[in-house]
Amino acid sequence: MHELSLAMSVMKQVELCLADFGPEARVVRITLEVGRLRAVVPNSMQFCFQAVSDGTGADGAELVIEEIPVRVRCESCGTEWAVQEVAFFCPDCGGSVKTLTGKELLLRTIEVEE
Amino acid sequence: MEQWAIQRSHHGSSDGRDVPHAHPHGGGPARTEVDMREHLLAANDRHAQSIRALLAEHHVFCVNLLSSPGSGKTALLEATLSCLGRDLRIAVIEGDIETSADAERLAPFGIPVIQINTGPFGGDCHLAAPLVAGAVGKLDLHELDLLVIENVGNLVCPAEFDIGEDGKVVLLSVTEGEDKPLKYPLVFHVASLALVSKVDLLPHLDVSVDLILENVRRANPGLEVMLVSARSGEGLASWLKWLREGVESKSGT
Repeated sequence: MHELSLAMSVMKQVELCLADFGPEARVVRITLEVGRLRAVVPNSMQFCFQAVSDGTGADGAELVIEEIPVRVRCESCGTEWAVQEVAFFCPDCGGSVKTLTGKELLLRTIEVEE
Repeated sequence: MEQWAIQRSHHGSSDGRDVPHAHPHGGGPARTEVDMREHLLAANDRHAQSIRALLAEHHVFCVNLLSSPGSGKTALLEATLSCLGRDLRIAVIEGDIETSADAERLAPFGIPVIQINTGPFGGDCHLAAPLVAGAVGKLDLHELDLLVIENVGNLVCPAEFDIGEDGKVVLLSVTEGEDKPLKYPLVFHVASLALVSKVDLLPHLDVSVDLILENVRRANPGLEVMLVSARSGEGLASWLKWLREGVESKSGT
């Protein structure tokens, strides 16, 4: 359900963005970067975005959700890998890991047509 | 159709942005790609930082208590208030989708309790910082050492939202099964402390505490874990010590 909050946050930025354009401008594409750790379900996000953008300047816009894998680095031996299942320690030496990517939650671009 | 890309001078700010001039030669609509680079929770996080600054100014230690529904957050609070209520000045913010049942349970302790309802019939499944800021504003922070925010029962969404706390504490009751840290890793990833609750029930269950601990470790090897029971009092001393140390760390003395 936090997809609805996120979709509303996207719409707020869409409104700010459209304020710089003419009255006929409309949003055709929005790109998000979402880390896999964020527990955002792309289908739910699409559904919520459709619901909140209905009848706005972003009605019908394509929402591109780029999922970012969870990458970590072992703080002991420096090995880097993409975590496929939940195991946040080094399989080689058992060391603790630093999360490099996977926590993104970014509105990257808004594409406007006028 | 032509593609244009512009760089915004202020990330996500409504002022001082580059105003796009993207008029292509010839007919057809012009497309402008605006680089936003805005964190989707930026607005929430700004509110959270204001709360954090306000609590720091008043030396109030703040805990954000997270768990699935029915893991024993309120029972733990009752036990905590029974033990610490005389030594520390404590307030509680209760987050629920609906009802003030939890606030009523805490009423006998005579401490400030503020109930936030996120809304009936599908209200927000988490507390967001703007709502918490409103509740914090109603408290007399000069008269507080410890603020506990009991979040909406949910292991997913509350993990995403910074509400200005000093630490997130996640509860996992032994009746929920050993697999929850693997199914909901983010909350264990962002927590400062995990409490495995209702351990007084262990003799009646087929659950393996070792497996729970192993799965917590897989989600976050550095996470401190305590076994507690609000009912029997087992393990509460460690939890109370953790709280007292947090309060001391903020006391500025």
